[in-house]
Amino acid sequence: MSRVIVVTSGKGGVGKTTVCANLGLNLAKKNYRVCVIDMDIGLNNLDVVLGMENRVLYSMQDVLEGKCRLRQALVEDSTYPLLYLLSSGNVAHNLSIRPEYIKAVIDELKTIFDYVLIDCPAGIDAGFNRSVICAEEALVVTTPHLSSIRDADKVVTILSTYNLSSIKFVVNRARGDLIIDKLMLDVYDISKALKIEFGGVIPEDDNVTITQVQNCNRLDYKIPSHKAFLILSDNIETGSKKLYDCTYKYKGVIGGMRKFFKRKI
Amino acid sequence: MELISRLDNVIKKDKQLNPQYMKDVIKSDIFYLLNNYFEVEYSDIDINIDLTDNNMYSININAIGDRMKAMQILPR
Repeated sequence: MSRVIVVTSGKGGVGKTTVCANLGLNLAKKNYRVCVIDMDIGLNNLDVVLGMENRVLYSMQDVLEGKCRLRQALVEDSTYPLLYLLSSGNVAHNLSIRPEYIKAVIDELKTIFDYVLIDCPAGIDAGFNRSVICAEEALVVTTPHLSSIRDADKVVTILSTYNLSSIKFVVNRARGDLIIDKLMLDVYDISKALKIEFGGVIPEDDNVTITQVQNCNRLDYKIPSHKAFLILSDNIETGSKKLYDCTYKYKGVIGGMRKFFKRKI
Repeated sequence: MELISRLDNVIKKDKQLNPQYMKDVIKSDIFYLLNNYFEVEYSDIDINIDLTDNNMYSININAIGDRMKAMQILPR
């Protein structure tokens, strides 16, 4: 049974694409056939985050215009052969793409893949509608900042009008040192405000940026964000409610010193 | 605590928007429904949407009906 999950946020720059890419990678590692779709037409970046930008030949627009078959537009990941990318075109004239055309493409993908992950564009306009209307579940990405949570709340309100079986949220860029001092909202506070279940929490981690600079999206097993993404994929896969503890590094005497130096330096 | 209360206020403020359009749509639906059972005037239906302390909507519908319609003519 295939699952179609849209990764959305409302606010831009919160890490939708990073969450979508890493969720796709981790599900593929678990031997699921996964297709990640970049629906940010004209402002596509999922190919870059996955390190596949030089291998994209055809886009979803080419499929819709009949220039290629769907299977020709799918780009296979070099490390995880069960992960595929369907890139969107980098041309901004996307107004003619109707949701029902995209739905037809996704219906075909559902016959091939176990998971279809849709990277939704920021905002709540036509691109958002196109992405959400094709999905069965939604994952709302937010950072622990008020502006982002506010937008997430508005998005959750809009999502509730669609026919979705589940709406969960992911907190990205959580900082344990600030959460422990109550200077940043934790996942439970946000869950209470949004009135939906959490899917996971991803800590702020420089390694995410570094791996993208190095043109690969393979997070090292030892780094915190990798563990957090693994937990997120477990939660999505099984419906469990495990949570990565961002604050563990800042507990105790050594943790207190680490926190002190992190703030001062 | 300050952060939580700010978040609460922000979300409450957003929800406090009480759009007249939404009320009008609900009112016309309620009028259609009640009209099957009572003789009601559109102007006699009053809808209020308020926000409770825990950010939930309290929806109050008050309507005055002139007389109840006979059960035999009720729609199926």
